[in-house]
Amino acid sequence: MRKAFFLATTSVIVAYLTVLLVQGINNDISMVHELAIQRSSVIKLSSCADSIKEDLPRYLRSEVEKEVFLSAELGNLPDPSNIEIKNWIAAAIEYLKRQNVKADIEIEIPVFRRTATNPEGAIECIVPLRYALKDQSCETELEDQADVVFIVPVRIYLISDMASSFRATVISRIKRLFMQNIGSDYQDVRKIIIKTIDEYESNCERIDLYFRASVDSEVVRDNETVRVKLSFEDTQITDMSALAQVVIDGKTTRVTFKAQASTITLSFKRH
Amino acid sequence: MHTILDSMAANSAIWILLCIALLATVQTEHVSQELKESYFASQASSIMQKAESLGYIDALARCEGDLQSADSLMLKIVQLCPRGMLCTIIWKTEKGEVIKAIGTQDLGVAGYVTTIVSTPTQITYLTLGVGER
Repeated sequence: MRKAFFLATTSVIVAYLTVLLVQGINNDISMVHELAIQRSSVIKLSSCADSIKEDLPRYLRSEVEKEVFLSAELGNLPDPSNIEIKNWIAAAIEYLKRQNVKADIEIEIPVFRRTATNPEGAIECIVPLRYALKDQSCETELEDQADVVFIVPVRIYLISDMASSFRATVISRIKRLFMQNIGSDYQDVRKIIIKTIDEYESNCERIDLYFRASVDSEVVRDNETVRVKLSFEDTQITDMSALAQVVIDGKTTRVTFKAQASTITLSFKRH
Repeated sequence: MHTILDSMAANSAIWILLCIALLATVQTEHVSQELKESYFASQASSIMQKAESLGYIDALARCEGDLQSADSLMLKIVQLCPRGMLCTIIWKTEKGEVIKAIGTQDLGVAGYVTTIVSTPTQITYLTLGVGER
């Protein structure tokens, strides 16, 4: 009887100690469990944040390229207010909602500027992005703000610069020709224009630009003056470098920038 | 009488001990699974990041209509999966229609990462799952 009493008492003590031990282990397990869930949640949130940061430029690139294409056709710089972002924000919020993540995404109007380094003169698009993500399953939160920056490899400034430089060169060469010899004939004017166009085309070709210009001239003389009327037709330039390709509605294309036609009359008086 | 009571107490204590030990084992198993899922999710996330940095996701977005190119790109992503692990990759439209799927569909204990992929015409989702072989 005493033996049974000792056995029972020992069993109860062992059981009690085991309960304490198991309870301790259980607490640890619960903590590890909590940590595992939080780790999964953090991985999910950071993965979602990476995903939206990576996808925004992917989406915007095609939108910006469309705007660049349209503005280039008109000879303007791209207008940031024409860039459509609302659809993407709605889609991104829906994507996050499906993963049980509540999102608040704010995107400001893109800013365009020209790159100073390679590819020089290309358009750099800067989009300020701010987001707050909250995992609804375990209340983990992630907030951050970042500038999404990407380059549209189109050298948009070149047409205005090159067209005006080209026109100025043609005009100054013809001026020089008549200043030196007022009796210069029409053939000399023509030769100068053709030579200037050729020089420009070969210079552009060296930097992967396809430059097209056409100039008509007319020389009118009377006893007192010589008038040279120069008609610059649409000047066009296409960036032919491997990078300068844009995708418009799924099709790869190259943007051709156009400068408008203009007419200039130069007058030379006999002294 | 005392012997019966002692015996009952001893038996109950042993049963409680057994039950708690069993419960602890089940809980440990549950936590172990949660940890595995978390580990696989982190693996999937790093594979996705690597695929993004290598330009595979951008390229995939561009070849929306070209399923053959999409297939080879998705294979490249799957090949980034570490040895000893199984990968599955599913590319779906916003409405949930499968554009292309590669790999074992039933991975068991696995971690999944979904990324948003804007193609020139629509918004799509790319889900990568990583599990143990």
